[in-house]
Amino acid sequence: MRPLLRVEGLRLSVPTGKLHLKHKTILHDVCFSVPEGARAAYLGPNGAGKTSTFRVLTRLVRPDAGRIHYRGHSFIPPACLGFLPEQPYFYRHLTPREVLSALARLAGLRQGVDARIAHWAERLGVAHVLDQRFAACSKGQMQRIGLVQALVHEPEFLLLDEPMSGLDPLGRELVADVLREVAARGTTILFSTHILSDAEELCDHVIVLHEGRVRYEGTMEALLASGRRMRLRYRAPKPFAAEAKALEKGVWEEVWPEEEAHKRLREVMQRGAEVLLFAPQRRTLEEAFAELVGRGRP
Amino acid sequence: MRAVWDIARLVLLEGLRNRLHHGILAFAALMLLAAVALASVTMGRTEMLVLDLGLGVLALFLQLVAVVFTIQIVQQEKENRTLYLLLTRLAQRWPYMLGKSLGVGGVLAVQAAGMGVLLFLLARFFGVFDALSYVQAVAATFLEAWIVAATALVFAQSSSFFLAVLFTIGVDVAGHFHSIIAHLGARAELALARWLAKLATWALPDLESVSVRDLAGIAPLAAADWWQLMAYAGLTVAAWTALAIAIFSRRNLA
Repeated sequence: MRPLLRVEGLRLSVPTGKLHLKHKTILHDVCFSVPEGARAAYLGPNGAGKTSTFRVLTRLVRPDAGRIHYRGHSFIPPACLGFLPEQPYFYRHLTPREVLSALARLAGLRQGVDARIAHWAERLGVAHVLDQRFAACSKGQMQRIGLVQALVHEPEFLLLDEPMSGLDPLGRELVADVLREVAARGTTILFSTHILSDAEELCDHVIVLHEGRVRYEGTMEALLASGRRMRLRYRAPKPFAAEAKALEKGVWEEVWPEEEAHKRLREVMQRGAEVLLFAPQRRTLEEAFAELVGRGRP
Repeated sequence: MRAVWDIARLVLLEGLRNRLHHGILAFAALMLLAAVALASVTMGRTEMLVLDLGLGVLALFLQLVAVVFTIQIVQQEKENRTLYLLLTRLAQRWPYMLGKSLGVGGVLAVQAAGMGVLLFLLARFFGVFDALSYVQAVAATFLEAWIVAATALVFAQSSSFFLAVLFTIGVDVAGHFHSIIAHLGARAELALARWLAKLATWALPDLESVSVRDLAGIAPLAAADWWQLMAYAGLTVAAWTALAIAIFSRRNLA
């Protein structure tokens, strides 16, 4: 698929120290692209530079170096972009309806503003809070209203920083459904999340960032298939490897990287064991992620 | 320009519904009543004393709102990240800051009008006075506060809340001594002092010339003088807002 967004050599440093005289580089030549129509996850541990990348993409921060390409522009045009910042917050004394209609107008929407607000608020389960002040809204409601504001002008590119943050399991499921729905209509989505199961379920494209560097960029399928391991299950009185796990009496299972697994299969068969299963074991995103970033969890 | 009005409207609504403002307005109303009580037991034309004291209270509270509210909306917007929602919808940043300036102007105008009407009714209860000069004094007090708010927009971006308040009040106070600074500069023996005074008079807003409270209830300003005052205040607000826009447009909002 043709990339809709291409990021080349993004470098960003931030001033540190009491007098802001020192600089710390937080993005090191970050390059990635998001194919048109993709549901892309932007993953990384805390402090990897995900939010900083989003700030550069939304022109809140100017990078030291690097370029952004979006349909011939060097930035994502505001009318094309729906942005949800991490833990969105709104004006305490205003109502969601007032803020959403102002934001929709700012995004260039002139007609049908009320109908669009009503539609997305209904879809995300916040229609009943549209006319109460933000001061009375819960964190989860704020998050959903944040999504409404990102979707209300129906942009072609959604940039979402932790869209599932602060939501209960039902809320997460609802948001996932809405994201699938907009993606099915052709909207390209790039979102960051720490909930890897959500990313695995929702996304077809992955970018993994660690310490300001891109560690992986490609399809979800390729990431989960890479470094594939095989499960070898056999019946024998004793296991043939120390790593073998007993499943039941006399039934053992070993997991090997694909390249070694075939050798092990031959050995097991030569020793007269009955092979019960020899099948690839699909990695979870969590395992692939842990391998890429080397330590910890996002 | 639509974006500017949309942002100004958000500021206006948020400002007018802010409980802090309601508290300030209630306190100002109490102070006005205290001024009335004080004036009614003083010898002289009671309505003029009410106007004098009341306009002083009005100016004080409007400037307080101008400083605190302006700095608060700029800094809280960044802290709460509402700023991101607005800026990602704008091709350029200037409508944001211009909208803020107009929104704050709207809040000050509504408050000036509210307190002005209350003071007018209170003073009118005690006697007759020149109404046009009173309206001019209230309008000029509003413009004075708007100038202070525009300077607050500049300082609010680049420092902490405390420092921003300090710098704004500094400009506010110095602006009220504009002619004294110019006079002292002209009489200074050191060339550097003369140069510094000149620089200060050039850079600081001349809030003295905007204030016409001493004429309230007596005689209105001549039309030409009034338009000159309005033009000066408008240009000063525009210049400080432009400076705020220039700084804000270059800022990294990390």
